[in-house]
Amino acid sequence: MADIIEYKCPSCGGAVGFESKIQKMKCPYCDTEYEMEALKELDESLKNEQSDDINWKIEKENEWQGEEEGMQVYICKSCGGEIIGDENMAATSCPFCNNPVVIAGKFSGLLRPDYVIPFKLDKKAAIEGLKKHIKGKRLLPKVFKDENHIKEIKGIYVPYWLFNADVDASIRYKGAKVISWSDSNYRYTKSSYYMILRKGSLGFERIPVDGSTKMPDNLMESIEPFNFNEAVDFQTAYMAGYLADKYDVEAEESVKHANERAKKSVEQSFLSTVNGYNTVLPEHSSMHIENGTVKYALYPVWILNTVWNGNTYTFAMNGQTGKFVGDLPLDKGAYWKHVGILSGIFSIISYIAARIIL
Amino acid sequence: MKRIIKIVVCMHMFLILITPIFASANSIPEERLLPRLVDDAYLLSEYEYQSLLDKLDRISEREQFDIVIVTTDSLGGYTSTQYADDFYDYNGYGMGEGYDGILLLISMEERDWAISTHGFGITAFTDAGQNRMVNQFIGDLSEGNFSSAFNKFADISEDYVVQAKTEKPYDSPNLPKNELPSQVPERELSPYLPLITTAIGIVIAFIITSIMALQLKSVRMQTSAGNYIKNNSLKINESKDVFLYANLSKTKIQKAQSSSSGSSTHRSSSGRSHGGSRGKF
Repeated sequence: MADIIEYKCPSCGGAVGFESKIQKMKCPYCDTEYEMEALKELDESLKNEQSDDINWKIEKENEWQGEEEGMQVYICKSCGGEIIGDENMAATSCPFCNNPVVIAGKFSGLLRPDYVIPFKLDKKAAIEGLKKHIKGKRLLPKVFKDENHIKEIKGIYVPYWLFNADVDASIRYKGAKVISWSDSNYRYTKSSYYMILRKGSLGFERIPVDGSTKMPDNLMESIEPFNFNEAVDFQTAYMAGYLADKYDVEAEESVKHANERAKKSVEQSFLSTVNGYNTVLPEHSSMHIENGTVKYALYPVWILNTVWNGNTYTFAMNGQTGKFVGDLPLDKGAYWKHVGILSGIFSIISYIAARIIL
Repeated sequence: MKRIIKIVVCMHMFLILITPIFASANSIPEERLLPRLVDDAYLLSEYEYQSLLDKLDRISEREQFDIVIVTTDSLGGYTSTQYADDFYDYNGYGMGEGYDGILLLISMEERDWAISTHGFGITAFTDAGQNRMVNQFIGDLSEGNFSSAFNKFADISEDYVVQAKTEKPYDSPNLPKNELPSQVPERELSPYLPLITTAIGIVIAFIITSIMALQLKSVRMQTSAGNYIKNNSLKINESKDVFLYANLSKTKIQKAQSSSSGSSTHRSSSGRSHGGSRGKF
């Protein structure tokens, strides 16, 4: 089952990887470019070729599992070095010869993703993204910019479950219209209360839920949205040169969060159809969510780990849109300095303003 | 300077002669006969007199609105209002077609004061406005600080005229908060003002700095799925807005303390319409 695929340049025999800039495979040695379609064919033939030595691989696998649970070992086809990874690892590069390898078994059968959004942005863009992310943040410790070293930068295809959902909902609100007028003696306020009912449906397409426990869910949701229009049918060739994991959270478990998000959006959408009231309060809501189909997709994410003051900071960049996220440390000294300086400035301004107005 | 004093004295003599025949003379001169400051009760020093007259002339010319101060020892049997109105009319005060102006009369006999307004003066000096104005210098009058009282009268009058020309005149709901807006604003400000403004400054600083600190956080879970709504998939099959009930509440409108606004007027002996007020100090 644990079988690795390596894409060899048909021209020079070097290991080739997916190049995000040209959206093709490119040989780094002889600069030959290959269309993804051509490799699809190659992909098929490679699979057939590999089927012979499965038994031998399994033996190796078993040896390792005895020592450490969940670890697996693969043999690099180029240099014969041992590649060790956890059971979810699906694409990586050989630690000895750096050739990109894809573990075929992780993407076959039920594990085969339906779609992939190929990387559009490369490592350079990710490093640029980090620079931009740090720029202009005044409360970031000054030394963070100089002393923070990028420890690790990884292009990862993150497994996502994509849920389609149709929601039938019935929501009841209580709304109030307030009008007021006055005559010479009294001011009148009339509050009219209404029962507002909205019944209807709303459809959702491909709500993504992170299917990997290794990736923090909040980090993955912060780089949304991905543009699904650029997704293509899955081919292992896209994995070459990047890291990839197979999912380890089942779809049944992930659907809960997708439903929560859908529910919230239904509430918002229905509320937008309630107009002309001063206050609207939801009183009762019932929803029936029907999840039609679940798709499995790999989305491109750059993960950057930096170390500063002994702490690790993790950043993520959407490998398609370039959206960059990651919490930054707060310089408490700078925070109070800013409060102090701004207090002084605004105290003086408001004092002058008060003197002019009063 | 001497010459002016002489003129004033002459005028004074002349006035004493004509005062009893105000009503019977019944003719209103086209030109102003007297200066804008007539100190028949000799309440001001020579210097005070001159500087105050300069001020009255300057303001009156600038605003095209006569601001007149008259002091007298005796009202000669008239009420202070009658005396002030007649003095205004028969000495030809008032500028422009409406004979616009205001006159402050001080009579030392019974310590009376009276204000007479005419033309645009009736508009600019509402009853509430006059009341507020007098309150600001009545103390000086009582204490004998006539120069100070008259200077305040001149300054406030200018303020009122300018206000009435540019916006609405000062009136009961619309009176200025401080006493002399252009002169001594700091006197009226609360002693806690620096404390209050410092507090405001600190609050603003905290808000801005907290927004800056918040920019450091960019990782959060998504709560909704707005990006993944199918186009035009929102279908409302049933939409009802049913009226349940209504509440009507009424609150009494708090009336301003001085319920009347605007200017009350009366007719003077010449038949012209005057506004004004009077009192004792």
